[in-house]
Amino acid sequence: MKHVKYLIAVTLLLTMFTQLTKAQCLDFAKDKGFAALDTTKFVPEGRLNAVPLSEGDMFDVYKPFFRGRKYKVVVVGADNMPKLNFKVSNFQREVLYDSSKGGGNGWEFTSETNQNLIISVEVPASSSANPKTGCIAVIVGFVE
Amino acid sequence: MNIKNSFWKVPTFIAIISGTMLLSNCKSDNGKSDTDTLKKDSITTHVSQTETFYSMPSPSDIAALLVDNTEMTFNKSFLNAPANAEKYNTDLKLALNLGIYTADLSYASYFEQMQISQEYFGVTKKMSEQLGITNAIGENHIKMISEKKLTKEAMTKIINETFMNADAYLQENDRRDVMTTILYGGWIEALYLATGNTNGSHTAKPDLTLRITDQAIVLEILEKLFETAKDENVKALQTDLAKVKENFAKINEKMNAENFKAFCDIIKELRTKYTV
Repeated sequence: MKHVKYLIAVTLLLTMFTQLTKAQCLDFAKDKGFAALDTTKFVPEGRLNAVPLSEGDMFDVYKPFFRGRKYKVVVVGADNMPKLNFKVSNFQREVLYDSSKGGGNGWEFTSETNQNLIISVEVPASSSANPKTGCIAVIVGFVE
Repeated sequence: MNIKNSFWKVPTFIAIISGTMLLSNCKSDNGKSDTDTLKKDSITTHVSQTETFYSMPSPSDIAALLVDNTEMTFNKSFLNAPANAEKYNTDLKLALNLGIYTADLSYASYFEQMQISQEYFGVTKKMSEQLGITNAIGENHIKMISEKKLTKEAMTKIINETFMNADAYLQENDRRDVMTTILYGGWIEALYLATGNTNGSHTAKPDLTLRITDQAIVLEILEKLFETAKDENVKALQTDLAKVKENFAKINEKMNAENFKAFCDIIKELRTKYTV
């Protein structure tokens, strides 16, 4: 009986952890992500792309961009996370933008064609046995 | 007090506390988190993973792309009647039509049809609740909409905010298939509103026709979403999407009266199927 009780307790704790991290990440995306986007200039798209990740993990967001529209893509990470780099590439993985080559945490561009792009965020790996975990958010806004 | 018995009550205590916190978390979708950092203990070597999101635009984003066009006009008869909402009694129909009503709401608010927008806002609130999406539409939103004469920009902001709340709720509760269905329903409705405005002619409103063809790129994202869906009813929508894809291919290969009419017809057929 005691094993069953422990199993229930552990399951509930794990479920609670997962739920809390997701909830925290979505709030984080709205707060820090929208601030980085600058909502006075860019209207945030109605989707939230945020997830808890650990050092060494990757985050790929596939999304369509429409011709003639001006966009801003921003990538933000929790304060405890290392500096993040991101790349924007097409579905053939040809890189159109790489933040590690002098860019900041955002990229403004006007899409010349209708295209599906991949925003890839790589959380730098750590040699630590206990890699840090924190929220990572990719926010996209556009000019109306 | 028997110490041994008390000790074995610890797991029960943990379970009660965990359960309480879990439930309180479910109810606090709009609550602001005190912290934005997380730390978890790891007892094994971390295996790197890749998280993948297919970020289909929201119905209001799609509607805005099509509606924000000088050739587009408002026509109330294109909207799905609010009275139809009573008919939808499965999760699939509710989710499809929540997307459809959200696109209608965006269309009406873009043309500053505020009375209609208020009515459709009420319908989307009710349908969200029927789908178990609580707190997506807050009391503040209801108050703003009922008491003020809103600009279309303010209305758009409210629609986007409530959609993001619904998105967040469904993500938190691992109900991505519901969101996929809402997004697909909204996309079909936006295409229905746009094709309806062309009266089936590819030459009458050339810029609007071009905007419609632009939407073909969304197919790829929708296909990925349906491929990763777990619910068989949601997966089954792939058959309908394939018909849309086939007709998109025809108008992209050769835009003529016949192909464009066939495209408009398939959109109308699917929209009718989902709203009856």
